[in-house]
Amino acid sequence: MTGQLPIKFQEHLQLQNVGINVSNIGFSSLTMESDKFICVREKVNDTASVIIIDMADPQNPIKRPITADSAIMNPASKVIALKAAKTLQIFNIELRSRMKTYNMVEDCIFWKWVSVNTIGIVTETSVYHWTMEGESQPVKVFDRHQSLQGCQIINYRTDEALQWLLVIGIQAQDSRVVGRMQLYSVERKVSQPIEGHAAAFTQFKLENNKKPSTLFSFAVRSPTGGKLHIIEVGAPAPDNQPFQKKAIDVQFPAEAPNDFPVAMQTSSKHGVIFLVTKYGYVHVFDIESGTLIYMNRISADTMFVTAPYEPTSGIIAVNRKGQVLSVSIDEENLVSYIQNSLSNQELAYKLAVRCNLPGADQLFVA
Amino acid sequence: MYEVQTPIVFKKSSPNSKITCYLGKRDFIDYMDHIDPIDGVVLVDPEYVKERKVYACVLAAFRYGREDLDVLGLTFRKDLFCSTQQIYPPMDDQKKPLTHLQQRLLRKLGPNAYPFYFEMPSNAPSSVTLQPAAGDTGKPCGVDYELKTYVAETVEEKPHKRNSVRLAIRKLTYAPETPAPQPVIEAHKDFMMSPAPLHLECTLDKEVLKQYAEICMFTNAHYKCTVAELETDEGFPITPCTNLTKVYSLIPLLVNNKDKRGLALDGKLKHEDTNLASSTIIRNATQKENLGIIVQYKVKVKVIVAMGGDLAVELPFTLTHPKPPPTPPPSRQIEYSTSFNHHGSGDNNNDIPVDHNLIQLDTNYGSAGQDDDFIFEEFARIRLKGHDGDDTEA
Repeated sequence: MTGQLPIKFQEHLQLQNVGINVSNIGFSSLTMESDKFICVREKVNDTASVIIIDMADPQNPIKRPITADSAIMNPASKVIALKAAKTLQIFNIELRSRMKTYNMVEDCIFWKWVSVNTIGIVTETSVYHWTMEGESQPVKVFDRHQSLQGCQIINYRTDEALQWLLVIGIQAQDSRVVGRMQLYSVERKVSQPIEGHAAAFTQFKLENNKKPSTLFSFAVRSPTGGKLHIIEVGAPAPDNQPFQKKAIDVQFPAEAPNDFPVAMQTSSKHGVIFLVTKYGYVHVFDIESGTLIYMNRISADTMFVTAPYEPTSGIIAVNRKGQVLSVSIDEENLVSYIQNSLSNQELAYKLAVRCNLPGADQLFVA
Repeated sequence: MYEVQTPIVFKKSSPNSKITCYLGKRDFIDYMDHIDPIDGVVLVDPEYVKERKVYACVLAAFRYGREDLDVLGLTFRKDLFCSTQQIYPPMDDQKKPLTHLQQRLLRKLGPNAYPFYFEMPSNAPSSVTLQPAAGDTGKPCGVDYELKTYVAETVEEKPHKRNSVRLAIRKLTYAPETPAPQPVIEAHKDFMMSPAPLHLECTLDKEVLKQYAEICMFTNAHYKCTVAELETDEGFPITPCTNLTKVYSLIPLLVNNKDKRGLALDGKLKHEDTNLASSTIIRNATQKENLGIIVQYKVKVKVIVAMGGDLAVELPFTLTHPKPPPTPPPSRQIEYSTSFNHHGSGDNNNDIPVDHNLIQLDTNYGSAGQDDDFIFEEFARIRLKGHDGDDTEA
């Protein structure tokens, strides 16, 4: 069954077809905190509004007037956070009520929902977490590292337990884009600066372990080339085998000398890493071995925001033209593709076992 | 949180139905620090208008005579304020940001709807009507405002009745909240027959006895009308060397004064009851002539002295509408300042300069096909009895 791809590709929506102006399709005006909603801010004359697209009903966006410079939707429910300089507010859309309001001391320069009930807030000097319980206010979690000074902050993410926190920034330097990240451990209260463009945390259960390991993966393209690192952070759970760290070369095509990683999402279920680059390439890696499973260009336009795509444990992305697309493992073809096109029996078997997938019948060793 | 009810929008069409004017309100309030703008939308039939233009005009005039008395062809009307704008075709250099109401109406009414927006100057007169007597016909005298939208070739051309819409609107004033000092006045009267003077001290506690309307125009005619009075002799006569302190209450109500011809009332819209006119608040002396009617209130207390004449004092007073519960800010979108000057007070985190919501959740623009919530109500008013024709209050 050669010729069948190990991934499937799906177009979900064309934003311009639901009335979104292409000039508002970009990092500063469009947010997608999860695969449930897309928020677009638009300004006509002096009137600003937010358009909320419910991905369960994308043909009927709702539009509301706002006076905010950023709007991010809760990953799971119809709750929206808005900010205007130092003022942060949270609203329950269905109840049409304001849940919370807070005035920061400093400007919030980047923020993101890191879980269904916590927002991470990045300022010039610090990072705060704001949980939705009761009357809680944003609480400072750590100071920003000076290595990210002068960078445009493009992402903030955490592991599942909110014990490992990561700020990602980029900076133009010597005619290339440098990625700078700050990794912070809540338990140890220490930061580590890392050069990297895109990263993710994954709860992954190694084959012989009972408990999952917390894996941190990050990709970087430096003048010497592209690299993917996968390491376990924190102490392994009792009785767990530690994860052996991996460092893998990431290939960039010769015709894309300026390409670099822009986004990463992972699948715990399949144990794969989806890496997206500036020029629209996607690379799919096995998280355990770091082996490249597949690589191809899936979009001619930059995908500037991504999120995990839960129905298929894939990745959903929006590109500059407003195409909303997702990439996922094709469970029908994965094992046979690895076996036949990659000629990697060991990996094929591992994945078959890991994901309980068909196609590895010939591999079971008696 | 703004509680936005389903808005009522008033509409009226020209007699030939080719243009329709939409307004969000009929009363425009002067809050002292700002005045409600007159904002609305005109729906135009472009095939009818063709190469002509559509203008909107706000006119405030003082009507000081009854037109049925005009035998010499004079109009007893003086224009106090006039502003005209070309609405269609829209003039690019006059483009103003749309108000919330205008955006919704334009969305609802489609491409043939055009916005208009007038800002009243702070010295613009307020609407006042002088109460006609029972038998009077014709439009009452007073200061009235009219918004007229019409089709014409040029701005100088006189509007024609068939293709114009005339709406009677009111400009009303709400009093500032700053409390004025309690009015107090004293007077002495010396007696010839007795060494001790009669000392009359009169303190007002926000009551009014008399309305004193000054009609300012070419002749400064003064008109006085008593709106409430109280006569008492309780506790009197006062014997010498005694103090008599009494509190008198008077409530001036229009209902007790329906027979008083010429009594100044807040501008009438419908042929419905209004109320005693609010005091005219004069910001500076030079604007007097442009106000048409200045309404002032005074309390006059008169003490009748046996064998010695009377002693009277007058205390001027302001009668006005109480300020209604806080209204939403003027219908323009708030421009949220992105540079708050937070002076580093880390512990005073909820000191938000303007506490408004960053998103309005009650409005529903909807997507294509989803209706805006509007209730359209005809602007028309009951015509005055015995007064036919198209020169109406409405």
